[in-house]
Amino acid sequence: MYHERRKGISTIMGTLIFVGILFTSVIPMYLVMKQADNIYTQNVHKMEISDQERAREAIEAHTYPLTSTSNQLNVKVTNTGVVPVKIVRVWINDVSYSVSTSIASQGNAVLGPFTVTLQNGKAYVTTVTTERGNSFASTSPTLFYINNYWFTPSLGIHVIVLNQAAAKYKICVYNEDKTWNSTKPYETQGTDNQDIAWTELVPTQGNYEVEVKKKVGGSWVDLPNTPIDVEIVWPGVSPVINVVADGRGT
Amino acid sequence: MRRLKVRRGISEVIASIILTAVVLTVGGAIWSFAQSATLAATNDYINGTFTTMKDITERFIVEHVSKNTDGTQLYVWVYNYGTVDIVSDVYANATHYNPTTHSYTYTCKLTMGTTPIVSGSYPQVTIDFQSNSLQSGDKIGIKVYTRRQNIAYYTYYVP
Repeated sequence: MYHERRKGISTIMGTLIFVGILFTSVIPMYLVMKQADNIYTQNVHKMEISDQERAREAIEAHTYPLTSTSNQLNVKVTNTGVVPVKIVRVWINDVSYSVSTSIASQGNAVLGPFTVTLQNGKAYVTTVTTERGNSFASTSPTLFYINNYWFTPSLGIHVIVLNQAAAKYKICVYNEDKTWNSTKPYETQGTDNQDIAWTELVPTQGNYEVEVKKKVGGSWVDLPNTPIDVEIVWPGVSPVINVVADGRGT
Repeated sequence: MRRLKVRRGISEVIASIILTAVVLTVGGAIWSFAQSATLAATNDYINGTFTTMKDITERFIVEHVSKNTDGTQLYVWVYNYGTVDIVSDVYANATHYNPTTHSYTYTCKLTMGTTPIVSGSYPQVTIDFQSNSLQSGDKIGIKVYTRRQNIAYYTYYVP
């Protein structure tokens, strides 16, 4: 009877050891590996989001001098994308200027002034770098410093029309006394699903009127709050002025 | 007869003790081996996973390129906008077109990275073109190749 009780003790011990190995080695190993996999997956997901946000960044940068002879430049940055951006650097030619400015979607900020070395006949090219690793060249034409004066080859008005899907628009720019207008009004085809963006170059600084019409039925109708008055003063402000018209409610 | 019966009982007890001791010894050894093996396997797996994670989280661009006035040096700024530090080599392949002979000359230069580019920094890398200086119109294909085998490309036209 005594030795019958002791008969299976080694089997029980072996089973206990097996269970011990299972709980102290195999299961912890599995759990730690699973946790590592989770961290990996989280990071992959984070990087995918980060890459998507990077791809969605869109900004417009306009560079302009403070005065016609100043050695200081301002850069006006407009965030035209859907995600907020953080500007970390501005390059003017081969010199970088560190900044740290966040701009909300559709917002803008004036960076600078940045002091540059003036050289006659030299072009000044600006690029803007964001924290997510995008680099955007200046949208406005290259600035030149010629005969001790700043010169930009063109001034312009950048018109953004908030669009209702597949609507047709006509954009025309006039000067104040209507002696000058766009050679041909810009007319959309009615196939755009996103907002309309159009830049009209103007000959000189001064006051302009931006007329934006939408086709409703068979006739062209002015959008609300249009025509828009625009004043272009250069240097001192951006050579390209942004205006927005809302075409969604008409 | 009685004596033999007593001795037979003792041998069974001893046999049980020996068997239990063997089970404990062998089991302990297996347990110990299993602990070491699983620990090593776990560490390997974690290291492998985290290494791969660093590979996929590396992010960098060629932010800016310029040259010195006589074209003997090319400057490349590499911006590490990721979360991990990187070590990179920068290759520059210059193509020069000679309009007189209608021929192309190719020059390949390399600057090996020695110090890590810390996350968020944008150090300048200098590539030496002493032997074959860059000229206006040259096209430079720049390739930044990290030790984790990620690549960023950039094309620069010499002004």
